[in-house]
Amino acid sequence: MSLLELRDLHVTYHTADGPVPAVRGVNLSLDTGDTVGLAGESGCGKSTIAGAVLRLLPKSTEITGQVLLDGDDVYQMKPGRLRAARWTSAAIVFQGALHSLNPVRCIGQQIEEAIQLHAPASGAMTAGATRTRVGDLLDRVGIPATRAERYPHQLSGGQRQRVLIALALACEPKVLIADEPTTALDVMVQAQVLALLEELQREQGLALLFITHDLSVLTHTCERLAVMYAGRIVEEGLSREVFVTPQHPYSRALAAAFPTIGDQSSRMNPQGLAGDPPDPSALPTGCPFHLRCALAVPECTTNDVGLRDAGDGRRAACVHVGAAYV
Amino acid sequence: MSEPLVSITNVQVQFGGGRVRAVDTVSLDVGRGEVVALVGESGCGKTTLIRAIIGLEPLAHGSISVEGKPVGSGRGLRALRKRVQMVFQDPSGALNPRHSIYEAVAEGLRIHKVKGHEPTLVADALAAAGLRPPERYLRRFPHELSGGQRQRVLIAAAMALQPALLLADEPVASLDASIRGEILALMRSFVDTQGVSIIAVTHDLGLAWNIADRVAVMYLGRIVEVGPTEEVLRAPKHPYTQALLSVVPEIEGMEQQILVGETPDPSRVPAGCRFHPRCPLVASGEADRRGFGDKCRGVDLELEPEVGNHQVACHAVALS
Amino acid sequence: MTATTDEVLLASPRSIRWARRRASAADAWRRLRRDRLAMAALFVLLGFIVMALIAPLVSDRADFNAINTGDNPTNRPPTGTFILGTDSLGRSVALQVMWGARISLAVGLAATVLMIGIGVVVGLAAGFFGGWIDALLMRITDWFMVIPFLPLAIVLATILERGVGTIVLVIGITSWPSTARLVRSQVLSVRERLYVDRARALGAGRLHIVGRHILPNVTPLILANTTLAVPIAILTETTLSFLGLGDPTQTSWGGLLESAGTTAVKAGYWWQYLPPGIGIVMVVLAFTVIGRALEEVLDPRLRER
Repeated sequence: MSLLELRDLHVTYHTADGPVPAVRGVNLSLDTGDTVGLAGESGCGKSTIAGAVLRLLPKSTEITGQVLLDGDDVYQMKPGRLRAARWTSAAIVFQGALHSLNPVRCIGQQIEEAIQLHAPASGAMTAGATRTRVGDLLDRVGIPATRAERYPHQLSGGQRQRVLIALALACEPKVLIADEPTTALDVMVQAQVLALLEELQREQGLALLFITHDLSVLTHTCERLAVMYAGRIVEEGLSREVFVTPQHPYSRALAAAFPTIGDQSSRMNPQGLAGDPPDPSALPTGCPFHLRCALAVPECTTNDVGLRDAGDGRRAACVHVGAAYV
Repeated sequence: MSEPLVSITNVQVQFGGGRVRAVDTVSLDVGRGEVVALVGESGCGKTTLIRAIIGLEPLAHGSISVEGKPVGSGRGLRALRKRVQMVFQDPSGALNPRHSIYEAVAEGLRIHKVKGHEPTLVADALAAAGLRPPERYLRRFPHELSGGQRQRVLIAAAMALQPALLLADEPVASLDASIRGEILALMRSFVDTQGVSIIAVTHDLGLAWNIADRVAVMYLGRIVEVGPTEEVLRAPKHPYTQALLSVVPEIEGMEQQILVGETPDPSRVPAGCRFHPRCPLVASGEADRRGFGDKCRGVDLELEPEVGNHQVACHAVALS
Repeated sequence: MTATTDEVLLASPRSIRWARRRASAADAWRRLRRDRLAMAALFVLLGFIVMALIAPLVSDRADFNAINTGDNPTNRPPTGTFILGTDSLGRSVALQVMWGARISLAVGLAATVLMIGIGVVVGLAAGFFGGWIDALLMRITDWFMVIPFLPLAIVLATILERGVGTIVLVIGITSWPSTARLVRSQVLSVRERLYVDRARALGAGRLHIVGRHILPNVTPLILANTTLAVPIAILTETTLSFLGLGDPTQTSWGGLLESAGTTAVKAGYWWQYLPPGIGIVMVVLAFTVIGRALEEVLDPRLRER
């Protein structure tokens, strides 16, 4: 049984301007120790999925399909069970650590809060035990325990991100969802945080769902990879393979967006896609990518093709997949 | 070699009454039609340096001259700000939300009283930046456009003045991955068609690989390595550059050297070589074994001329 | 690819600006219309303004001379020709209320203009220039803020000629500090925005930055603040007149309340104090409601991205 499973998930926001379909039929599963990457740009629905797993989306949002955490559908859970499941079964490391941390409480207190909220019914931990645990967590993420008294603004960006990781691990979840955890960080700090995540994942056998727009980061951190576009998964498979031989034109563009340094073909040759990422409230007909696709054929304007088998555990949602093409 | 377009000589920029040495003795020349990428992490002074070029930060020491004329103040500064244009990192913040796109592009033309039919100049600039047909965008407002389009508007506004130098501060950092290439290609196209020089500040080495002729790596206010892009990024000589390259996800065949510690604080520049506390050569003891460990800890140094235009500020390199 | 003809491009940049201003004003009006309470308040306000304007048309100052006949219709309750009764001198209360509206509204507006005028200039200068100018101006502002209002009013009313002008002066001088602080903080926040940096990088001078970037972003705030300042000024004027510091030759609502005094309350002559009282409350409420509605309509648009 998977730890986390999304079955035909559809998420539609109800805004003042009408319904916005952010996620349109996503299937995903994570087992213990799995590392899965979710790649995509703004508006593709990846952050919505992170929120959907822990039922953090606005009340007016329409959600169909199932989100199974440890076998139980999150959307069928009673409030008590939901509260217990949040953070103990799955936890999220958010992006933008400066905004995710309460600026007027020191970081030690914030981690304590998470622990105390989920204290077992048999008896809450003593204050001393909690503090020790906080110290351990901070230590584990490479922050000296003495810094627990510091406030978020007194820490650097990299340190704040580590605090968020410590916070996420406070209740020993089995699933960790990292939503763009390194996007705003410098390259060296990014490497440090990624190394930390990899280490923790290995040590604790966490199931990791890593969300980002940087495809090459995912190839190093995740075993499997799914590329999202306009609310759907358009390609999935082993991350290395998807990166090196992408089957979907969008994956190809995303892979080429950040050039491999040393590769002569990208020297003085920046590669991008014309147009803009699609607006979920105004999606094109047929395949949402066809307006920006170099390989579009007339069929693409009408047929929003689903994922097709591309061999070797790979699937891609393109009319050209599964058929011979140049 | 003809006169460089921009000459930065021994420039120092300080904040807090000398406490923070944001730019600590930097010299750099940029030629006509050349693209130089200024790379480094936060706090290295790269943004401060380009702000100093355009006169937004005062110089504590040294001088900057553009087209032979020093960057000073008063009337000269206004004339300079026509020849040198800046593209900012956050396209949403850089556009006044109450001004239409037309007004955003026309602003510079009006400040410098550029001759010509204003609506035509504006439309041409927008078209050249890839916003076609321009008429569709004139009356719109920034919040109606996407991030990529806003950046194109900013580039159009900058290029409308036909500058000799374009300063780009993280031009694609806040844009979606698939748009990145388009904006970079646009910038490169202006170099080819109008001969504009570009100094691009970024932490993204891939950007340098994509569009830069030369790369200058900055650390704590100083350039530690500079040279042609192929050389610096394929065969980096400074330990910092090597470490930086090794952790870039988009690099192949390099073993990761993750440096310990945080990006240091420009208000506390270490003695000796400013990189020595984090330098793998010092940490592993190799510097001492090869006899220059004391130099690393005690002697500050600047760029040494090397083969070709590839210069490095490192004791290990200087002594080999 | 050169641009097509001017007709396609619109006549001129100026016409774009005006078209845009018209469009945003129309949009603001539309949104205001949706606020029923604000519309009612606007209606009420217009009513009072009309009343104030037609006062000289339906009566004469002579009507205020005390009628000294034996048959003095003093303190008569509302009947017949005197729709709101008469006061202790036999004059029509209704007419006095109408004339009083003129003073209250005029003083309120004039004082507000003075207060906003000083406040905006000080706030803009302090916020924009910073440094010692800011420090100096803020100290002056603080000084004015701590001057106790009533003693100053009394002193000024004693020194200067008693009149409408003095009242306007008193209110204006004591109320501008809060506007100045509001404007200053808004200027400070706008000044740090990236597009101001960009304007500077483009070569813009101070005047351009203030005129094209700072003022347009500060004006909506000032407008909303003004609308809320008028009722404050009116109430202040009422207070001063009630205390006898107003112009004795002019009727104002405050003056009406003063002359009604406790006698009217004890004797039960409600028509002498209720009409001016209700008038004040309604005008003040109307301005406040409109002011708040304006704030809502204008401010969120600034945050639109």
